[in-house]
Amino acid sequence: MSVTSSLSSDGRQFTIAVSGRFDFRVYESFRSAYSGVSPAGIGFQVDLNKADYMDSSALGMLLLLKEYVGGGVQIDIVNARPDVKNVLKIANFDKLFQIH
Amino acid sequence: MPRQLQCLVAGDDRGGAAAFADWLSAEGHRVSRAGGADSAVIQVARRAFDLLVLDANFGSEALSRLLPVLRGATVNRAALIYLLNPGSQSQAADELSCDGVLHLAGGRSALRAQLSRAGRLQTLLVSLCAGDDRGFIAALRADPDFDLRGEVFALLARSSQQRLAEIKRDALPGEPLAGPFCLQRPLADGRVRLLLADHRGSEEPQLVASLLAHGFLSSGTRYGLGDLADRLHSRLVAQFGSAAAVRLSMLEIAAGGRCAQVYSAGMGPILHLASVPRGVPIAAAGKGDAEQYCVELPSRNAPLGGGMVGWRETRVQCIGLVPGDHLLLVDGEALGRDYGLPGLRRRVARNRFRGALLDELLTELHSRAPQLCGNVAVEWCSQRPAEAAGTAAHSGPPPAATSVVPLASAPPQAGELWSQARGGAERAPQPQQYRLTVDWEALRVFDPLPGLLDAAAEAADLGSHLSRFRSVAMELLENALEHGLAQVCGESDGELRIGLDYLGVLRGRHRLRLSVEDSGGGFEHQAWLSGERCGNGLRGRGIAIARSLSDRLDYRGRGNRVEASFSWPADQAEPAALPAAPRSATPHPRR
Repeated sequence: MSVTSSLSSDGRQFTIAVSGRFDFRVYESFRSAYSGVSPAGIGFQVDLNKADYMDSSALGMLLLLKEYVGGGVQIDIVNARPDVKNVLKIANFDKLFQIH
Repeated sequence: MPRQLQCLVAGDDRGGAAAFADWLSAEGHRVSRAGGADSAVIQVARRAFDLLVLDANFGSEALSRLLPVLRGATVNRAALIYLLNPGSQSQAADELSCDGVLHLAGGRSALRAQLSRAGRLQTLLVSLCAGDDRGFIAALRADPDFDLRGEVFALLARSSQQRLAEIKRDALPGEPLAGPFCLQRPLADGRVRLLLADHRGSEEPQLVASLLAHGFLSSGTRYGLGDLADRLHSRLVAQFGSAAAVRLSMLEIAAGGRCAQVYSAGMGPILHLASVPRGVPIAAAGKGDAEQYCVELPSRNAPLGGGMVGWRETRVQCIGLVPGDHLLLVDGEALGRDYGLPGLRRRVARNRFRGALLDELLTELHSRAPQLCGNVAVEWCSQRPAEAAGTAAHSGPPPAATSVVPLASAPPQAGELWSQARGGAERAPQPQQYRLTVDWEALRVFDPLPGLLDAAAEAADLGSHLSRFRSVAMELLENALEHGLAQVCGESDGELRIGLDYLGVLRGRHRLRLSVEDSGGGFEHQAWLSGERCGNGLRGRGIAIARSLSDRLDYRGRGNRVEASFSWPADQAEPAALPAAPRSATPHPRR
């Protein structure tokens, strides 16, 4: 499990990618991935393509990310596997995030 | 000359029974063996025995058939001795209220009269039967070439803990209680005859004998745990003399050599070394003198027979995580109990063992493996990371995948019918149960989830349902850890009890139930389940996820036990993995 982050070449898209288990074990690395990033003027994206599964603490981390970037910034959750997507739906996160 | 006794040794523990039979034969008595209840019943009906030796751990079902025959028979029978270790939880012994000697037809006076005509063994038995403990001890001590202390104390311990304490205090001051493992008898040429017996259904005596015979165990060999080992070793040497050093180093190499257990003589296992991949389920015997840990391995890799199969419950008290994916289990509770070292468990837990000890053991075992013979088919592989990555650094075939052995079958619930496999050619999946108990210390380094997933996959062909099972299990485990144990434990002795019950196919659906219980104080689960309370933040929604992904979620007790039920069609080749839609529109926080 690991968390990586990258900023697009045009500086307008910040992506956090999680691989493996998206659970409390990656709390620190997930939080530090965006803590220094100014949300003004950029979009945020969480890529779960390589996330095997996620638990409720991962949901909390996403909420913390949303709180960090503020209400005016959209967060896209992309490439989630069906199992992971289902957890997001159970938690009604499809109303809080854009899930693709 | 002592009269030659007709003895019957009955028990399905081949090792222990053989050892006892050898002992009696060496005494000049005629010994018959019965490996099962039916055989014992037949022999008792045909012949009068003077002495019956019955393994206390003879299967309860077999005992239920055998004991009425023994009690009702009028043949000349002397004594019924149960081989017990101190603290044994033998179901048979409990049912029988066994005192070590069960008086049968003829009564005590007849028994005594009969045995008094015989020699040493009979003298001892008479004393024991008469409840003359001091006479018994005196007879033992007067016999310079026979050391039966362990066995005697074991019997007496069953008879009366208080009486045993008195004996120890008055007759044998300073002598610690010994178990019944070993009878030692010096021979004329100065060699020591070690008679190894075990009441459990294992091949341990033969195994240890093999190890001894091949020089693997020697009096100069000692594996220790620093200060703890020194203390234990000194104590054993003081108690048993030089032979203790041998027995302290007893190693059991079992099941293809991937599980090693270090025993002390007569006191049950002290520490257990298991060289297994992390996450492999660890099981333990739920009965016996001390809990015995093992890992379940494929039967084809278990050259020691069925001794490794049938463990019912796991209790991991302390685990040291050793570099290289080794687990080291320490029965700290047994240590504290048997050696009277208060606080030892915690001390053991704090001083987690590092790689040196295990590496030393692994290296030596590996190097000596070719010397081991016969039934000790050692295929030692240390499973070091480099080797696991594909380098065949160890000899022998690669280890087979470990798996969980199904445990006791669970009966269907009342009113429910087991479905029959279509066409009669296929067998319906069998109900299975798994239990795991992990204490707080162990949970710091031990993740029970992988083992639980393995157990679920093994128990039931979950297929794509494994993912939702995993999610639910993960939520419940984390809840129990974070909000059950963490709030009450600290340095205390909390524990987590995990149960997995595959109930088979009921009404055309597979049924699986997961239970997680922590020793915490519980919580107001009704408020969460009803949606009255919700939360936002890092913690939350665990219950909602678990409830949505399981068929049913029930909280029991004070809220510290939760059961999640799963079902899926039995005839569905590839069922839908997850419910189509969430049931709850309200996010629920975890506890």
